Amino acid sequence: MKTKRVITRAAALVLGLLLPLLAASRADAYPFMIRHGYTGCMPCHADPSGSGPLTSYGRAQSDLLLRSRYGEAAEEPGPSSGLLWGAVTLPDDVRLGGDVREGFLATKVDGAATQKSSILMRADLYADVLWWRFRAAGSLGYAPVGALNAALTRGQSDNLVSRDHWLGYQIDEDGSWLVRAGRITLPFGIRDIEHTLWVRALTRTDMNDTQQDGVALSVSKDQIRAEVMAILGNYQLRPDDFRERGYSGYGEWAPSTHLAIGVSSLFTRARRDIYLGVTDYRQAHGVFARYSPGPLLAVLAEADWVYQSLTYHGHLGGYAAMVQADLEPIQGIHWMVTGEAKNDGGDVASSFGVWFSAVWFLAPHADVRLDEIYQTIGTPSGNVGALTALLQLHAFL
Amino acid sequence: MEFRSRISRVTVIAAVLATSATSRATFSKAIEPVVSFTAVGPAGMKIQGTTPELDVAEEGDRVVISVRLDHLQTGIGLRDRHMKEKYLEVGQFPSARLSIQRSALKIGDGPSSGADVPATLTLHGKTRPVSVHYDAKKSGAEISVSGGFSVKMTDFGIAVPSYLGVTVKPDVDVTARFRTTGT
Repeated sequence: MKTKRVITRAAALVLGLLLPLLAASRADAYPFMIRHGYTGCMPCHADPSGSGPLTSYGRAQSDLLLRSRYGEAAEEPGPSSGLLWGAVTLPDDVRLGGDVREGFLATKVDGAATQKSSILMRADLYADVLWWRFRAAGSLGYAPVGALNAALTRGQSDNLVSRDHWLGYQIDEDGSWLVRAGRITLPFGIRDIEHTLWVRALTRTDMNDTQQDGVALSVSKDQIRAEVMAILGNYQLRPDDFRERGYSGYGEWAPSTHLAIGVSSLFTRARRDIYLGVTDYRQAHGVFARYSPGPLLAVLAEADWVYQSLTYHGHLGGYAAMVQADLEPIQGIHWMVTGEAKNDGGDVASSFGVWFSAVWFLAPHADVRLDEIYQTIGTPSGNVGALTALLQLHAFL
Repeated sequence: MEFRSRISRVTVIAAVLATSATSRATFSKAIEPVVSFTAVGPAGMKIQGTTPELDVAEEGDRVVISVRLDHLQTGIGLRDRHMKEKYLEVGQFPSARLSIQRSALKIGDGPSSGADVPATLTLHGKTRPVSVHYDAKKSGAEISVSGGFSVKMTDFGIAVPSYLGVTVKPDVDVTARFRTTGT
């Protein structure tokens, strides 16, 4: 019982308070693109479930639909939409890219002094190559802090990281069916760019460093989008005791071009959980939805039930949920309000949070984002308030 | 720009014309018409376009529905421009026309009625037969009509849209609905 309380406190502290400070951000995925009728990810992204290198079509849509326009509406995507702002022209089958994201973070937790820091959240290069129906993709980057689960080197900081690397085969001609093997972002829920949202953190399904090695099959056809992955473990983690094995997957149905509804499921087993240090049978199951009543507004929602059976240490049953409203009054400017809640399980009160966010895609390949995050985080001894301000400067190649 | 029109079933015209098998009705201008098409791209990508511009007229023993194409919208400006200028060439072919033999249309009082009827579609300067499904419900003097058809755009000389590696399939579904009054 005492061990269980210790584990519970540690989990609450780590997940509730420290992850935002440690995390480095990953590539972009914008599920709010459903406002333009894009229910699926594949036309724009090399990864069938979103994020990763952009296709030529995706680069064009980024220029036409995402960024601020000054003056006349775009007749065609500008030459700067290409790789390195148009300096490099590549065949459509070769998708290269890179991301740099710098964050300036200030966090005030009740009873503690304000912590300020600047973080190089992401500095990655990535590539995706198609040859006939075979695909090869990967990323390589540098993480001064965090992203330890994706590290190729073994330091506590200043690591080389590779978040994704896989080989794939397009089963049909247009790539609607894709089988991949390698290190892959887990298919689960909404692939948010806000990887510290509790629905991502509690389920361990973010784009930052929770990728796993395994085999995945995806389909994106007609009204259905789905991916299921056999998880074989994170082979950038040692020793083998820490590696989770199991499955993760989602299925989404889009009855119209502005509504998508999905379900997710995950189950893993690790001999020693990376955070809890004991044998952990971990599962998460949930629902999610994306809806856009019109071009001004996109609404995302997700709710997940999480359960961990800890051998000889009881169990933790909890949940995480979020609702996000994204308002784009003028192309390129997004105002977002996100509400979230979670309970890690055990003797911990529920946590609640609200994000007020503003994002400005001010120029080709560049955006700036400001988040004000108010959270009351449940701990064994009661709720603790936390206020976070995060300014991000982002550019992609 | 990806736009692929394959018109399969247009029923709206049929419903408007066939108020009864025996009487020769006349129809008012279409009320609150909505015409939409759905085209499909790779990997589940779906494009929907709409226009409110639909007219119904009688030409001899046929009912003709005309849809102006120059106000079709898919929600993305560049895509609309490519669709209209490059593929549909609305400058030369501003309208699509669906012609149905009036005697093939049956609309009676009471519950909704529907059927499949043969029709002739003129699109992009070419005329081809199509099969149209319609549903019509008459309530007093007002007739509510909905229907659709499928079309393969290449049958009408429309090039298959392809843009930056994204190619739209040549088959397109068209639906329409409107209300009218018949005498």
